[in-house]
Parts: sequence; C-alpha cells; structure tokens
Amino acid sequence: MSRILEEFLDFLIPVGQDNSISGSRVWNRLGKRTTIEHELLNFLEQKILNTEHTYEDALQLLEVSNPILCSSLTEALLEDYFEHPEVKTRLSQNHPAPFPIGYKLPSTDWSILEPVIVRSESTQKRK
Amino acid sequence: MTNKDFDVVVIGSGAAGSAASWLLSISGNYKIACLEQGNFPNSSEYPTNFFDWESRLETNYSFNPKKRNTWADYEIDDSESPIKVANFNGVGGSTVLFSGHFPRLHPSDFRTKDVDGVGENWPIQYSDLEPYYDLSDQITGVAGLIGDPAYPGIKSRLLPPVPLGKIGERIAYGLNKMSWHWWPSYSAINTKSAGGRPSCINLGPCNTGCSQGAKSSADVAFWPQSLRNSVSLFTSTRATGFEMDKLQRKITGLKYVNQEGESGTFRAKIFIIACNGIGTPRLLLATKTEKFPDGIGNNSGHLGKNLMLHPLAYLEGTVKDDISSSVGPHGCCLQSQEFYETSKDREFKRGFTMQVLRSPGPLETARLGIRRKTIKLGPSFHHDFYSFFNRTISLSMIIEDLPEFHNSVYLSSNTDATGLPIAKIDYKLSKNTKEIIKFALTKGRELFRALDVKETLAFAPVSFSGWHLMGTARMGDDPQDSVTDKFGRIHELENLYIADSSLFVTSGAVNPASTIQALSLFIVDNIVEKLGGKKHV
Repeated sequence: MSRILEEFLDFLIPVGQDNSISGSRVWNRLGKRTTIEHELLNFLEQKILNTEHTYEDALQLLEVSNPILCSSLTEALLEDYFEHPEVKTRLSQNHPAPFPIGYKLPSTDWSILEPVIVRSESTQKRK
Repeated sequence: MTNKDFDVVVIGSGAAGSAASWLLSISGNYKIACLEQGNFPNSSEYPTNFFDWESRLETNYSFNPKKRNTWADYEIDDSESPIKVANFNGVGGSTVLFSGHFPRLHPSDFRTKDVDGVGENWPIQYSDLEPYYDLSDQITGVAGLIGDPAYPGIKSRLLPPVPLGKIGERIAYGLNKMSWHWWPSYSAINTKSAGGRPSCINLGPCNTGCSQGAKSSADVAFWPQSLRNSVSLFTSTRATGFEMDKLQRKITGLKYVNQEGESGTFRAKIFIIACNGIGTPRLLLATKTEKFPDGIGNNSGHLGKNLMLHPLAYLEGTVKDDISSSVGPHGCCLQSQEFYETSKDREFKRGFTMQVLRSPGPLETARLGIRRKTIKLGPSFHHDFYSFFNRTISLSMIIEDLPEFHNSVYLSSNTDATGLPIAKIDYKLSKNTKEIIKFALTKGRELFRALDVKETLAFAPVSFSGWHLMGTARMGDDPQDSVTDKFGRIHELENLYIADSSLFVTSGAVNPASTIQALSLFIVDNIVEKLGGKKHV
C-alpha cells in the first residue's frame, strides 16, 4: 500500500487509546475495495501531494467533490474496522466459531415495579 | 393449467394466515391449502448466524421490499406517503422480521366513537377477542408479567419477562421518578424453552430474523404443527384473482400463478384472505365483475380506505456511562402507557405507547453517527464513537392513527410481471396525529431531562416504519360503511372471508401482531362452526 494511502486511512481511523488498530491495518484490499483504493489514490495524489493540504482538508474535499467515493470508502472502512476480530473482542462482541454465542442479560429485580403498582392501587381507591 | 380442490383455502401465511391455517388444522378433518408468494425463511441464512452480521442487514432479509426485490416482493408505490412500507414476504410474513412486541389492544380501542367521539366502534368488543388473545399467547409463547395496571384482565400464562438490562433499569428509574406508568414489554420471545424451541440467548437484533428460533415468529410458532396436521402449503405461489358463480354470490375459485410459471385454480368451500392491509385490498380491487365493478367487496366504497400506519415518533439521547444498551432483544425492553388514553387536559384524542429500544451494534452505531454527522472520521473518531456505543437510549412512540377515509390503498395503472396492478398508497398525517406526535416528543424530552440524558436526535414520522398496515377492509355491522361483517365475511359474498389487519376498525397505539392473530383465530373459530365443527373457544 502506498504511504499516502496508508497515512490517510490512519487519519480516518487513528490508533485509539486502548488499541493499536488503525485504518490501514484493517483495510481489506479485496473486492470492491480495489476500485475504491485506485480512485482514492488518484484523488490523494492530485489533492495532497505537492500541496499544503492536510488530510483533514483532503477529507473535506472528498466529501464535497466526490461524495460517492467518500461514501463507499466510509462504508468499506467501517465494515473492515468493526468486523476485525481484535476490534470485536475489544467491544465484547462475539468471537467466531461457533457464532453467535449471544449474551446474558442480568436478571431483573421486579420490585422496581412497586411504585407503578402502588400508584395504580391508590388511583383505583380514589375511583 | 392445474385445478386443485380443498375445503378451505387461506391466502397468505403471515401472522393472520398462519394462525388461521393452524386453527383449521386442529379443528377437524378439513382439506386445507395455504398460498404464500414467498418461501419458507431459512434461519441458517439470517444475518446473526455470521460474524459480519451487521454488513448483511440490508440483503435478503432486509425489511425494505425494494432492497430484497425477490419474486415474492410485489411492488408497492408509496411515493405519496411520508411512511414507507416495511415488510417481509414469506412464510411467517413480517413476523419473521418483527421485534417481537406482542401487546394487546385496550378495551377502549374497540369503542373510540362511544368513548371519545372519534374513529369508529368495532362490531366486536375486547371481551369477544379475549379468549382468542389467550389462545394466541399460548401457541405463540409470550414473555411478560401479570399485574400490569394497563391490562388488568390478562389471564394468560406468560413466560418470564425479558430482563430489563442496565438500559431498562435506568429508564424505569426515570419513569418512576416521573410517576408514569411502565411495564416490561409483552414479547413473543421464549425466555425459557417452550413449544419445542430454545430460550433466547439475547442475540440482539430480532428484526433481522431470529437465527436460534427463540423469537416466536409465525413460521416457527404455527407451521411445524400445521404441516404435521397436513395443511398443504404452496410457497412461491401468488393469488391473482377470483372466479365466482353466476349469481356472483359465491367464490368458486382462486386463480394463481407460481414462480415456475404454472397457473391454475384452487377450488374450495371457503376462502380466507390474509394478505395484510395492502395485499388484501389489492387482490380484491383487482377482481372486477358486473356486480362488483369497483372490485369484490367494494360496494360500500370503503375497500382500500381508512389506511392506518401507526406513525412513529423517535427520540434518541446519550448518557455518560456505559449502560450496555446494545445488549438484549432490540425492541423488547419496556413500555409506558401513561398517555395511551384520551385526557380532557389535552388538545387531541387518544394517545401513544412509549417503547424503549435497545441501541444498535457497533458498525450500525458508527454508520448512523457518520450519516448524522455526530461521529466524524479523523482524530475524534474513537471519542465520538464511544459517546454513542452502549450509551444510547432510544424512545419510540407508537402514535394512534385514527381512520381517515382519504388515507387509502388503490390500484395503479401499471402492472407487475404477473399482470396484477401495482398497489399505491396515499397517506397523510392528520391534525390529531400531528398533535399526538408533538406531545409524545415533549413527554420523551421530559423523561430525558429527568434522567440527565443528552438529546441527540428527534424526528417524526420515522420513514421506514410502515410495518403496521391496518384498516383497509374494515369490519362493521353496516354494509354501507364497512367491507365485512363482524365475523370477517365480506358482506356481499357467502364464502369469502378476511382475517388480517385490514379488518381493524381502529389501530390502537400498540403493535398489532397479537391482535391480528387473535382476530384471525376468532374468525376461523366461527368458520369452523359454520362448517359443522366444534368451536375451539
């Protein structure tokens, strides 16, 4: 992956405080992403290389000048990020094989309903 | 061209058609056919079977028929409605993708004209349906808690309620602080093993199809027994019109075409339509005869009219701490009916149910945030994301929709591939509805303030929320302003019945699945008696 692309993806999803996974590390590079990558690289070479533009500027320019590419890039990057096993683990999401394993909801102490019942009984009495 | 002979033909296998076929199958030795234009859903294909389930949400099991776009997904032109149709066409119908909400109508919903001077009275009362609600709960398996002041009469044996989780407990605290009614949701979800199906393991997004079968959609609640009882289920088969006797008093046949292109006629003594509030009037309007120039059963001019869609008002906010809001059945947490009934202190009639939704998974949280510009890619991405994920509280207010003659389903001049005219809907929010929406959002905001929730989003009506398709062939005692009698029989015909939500005279302010099933069971039980059998209730 070219350095400019790698840096831009890492700008979009930087390394978080509690992990080392950034945009370029999760980017899949297969399927429709090949086309996105090609178009994005062209865009970045035109708008960033040899200019004073920052990656923040590039993102704003991309949103305005090529919203379709921007939207495809966003969707693909978010998919790759949130479906990455390390990110899933960090978010307490299920691990694969076997999937899904579900969650356990803590049981509820239904005495929390007491005010509702008491209010209803006092309304009944007033009637 | 093939002819098939049966005692009863049921058209549609959603909540209504499934309940109808099931009750017929246990009530006698009838030869029963059920036509379904979709297939049997394959639970091994539901998104939650897969690691990348959030990416698969908008595919074959999307609630948007235009996105699924299969042979079963007949076109509906909803461009003249702020609320777009959401559905699923297949065995089980839209219950395959529903959230599992299973509350009943209130007794007052059947008498809004008498009680509040609006809408219309049903020709039946809550007490007529009550035993069928109980029967429906029993076969479905409904989680809930007896003792709800909003439903003092419920006698069904319920499964344990779905636990509230951290988010539910937080909201319950706020509702108690406001002194408002609330109760755990009535949910068509197995909270312990029942009906040969497992207990829910809280996969979360019930509305993508329940891959473990714990949600009691009609395909898993009714059909295993109905198939054992030899109901003939014809999938990928579409009803295209009716044939009548010479006097045009009886239906003699139902014309069909299947996905392979085979066409023919089903012959039977009784025909029951259960194609929902759009499919049912579409099929009837499409069959025109000398006696019924405007469509079968439309001599009153009410067929296709009075469409009710239950507009939803939506309010979303965030809290500072992690309340695991993405964990648990998406729709079924708790509901408040503090503002369900009419109050003389308010400008409008009737009211709404406030439901607490659990929040989406991580990918959907990020997608929505970026679309709404509350989450930004770049240096603030992680901070923005964690401000929403598992910290989001969503309130969905189901607004009572009163019947309005101009809100309607009618036929377009365009036809689909099978030659049937495309259904169009024309729907506008009434003044009363708008007033309820405004009030509901105000009340939601009051609750948010009591809980120190930071509001992030509020809007109404929610666009893709047209699941509840009601009222377009309403029942009534007077043939001048209704399509069927109180037993669902089309006034002018001896053997054609409707058993679905198009019969609803009013909508109430609750999800209709429970009432659809109860009503279908009520209608079929009376048909069984007409056929010489013994009523179940």
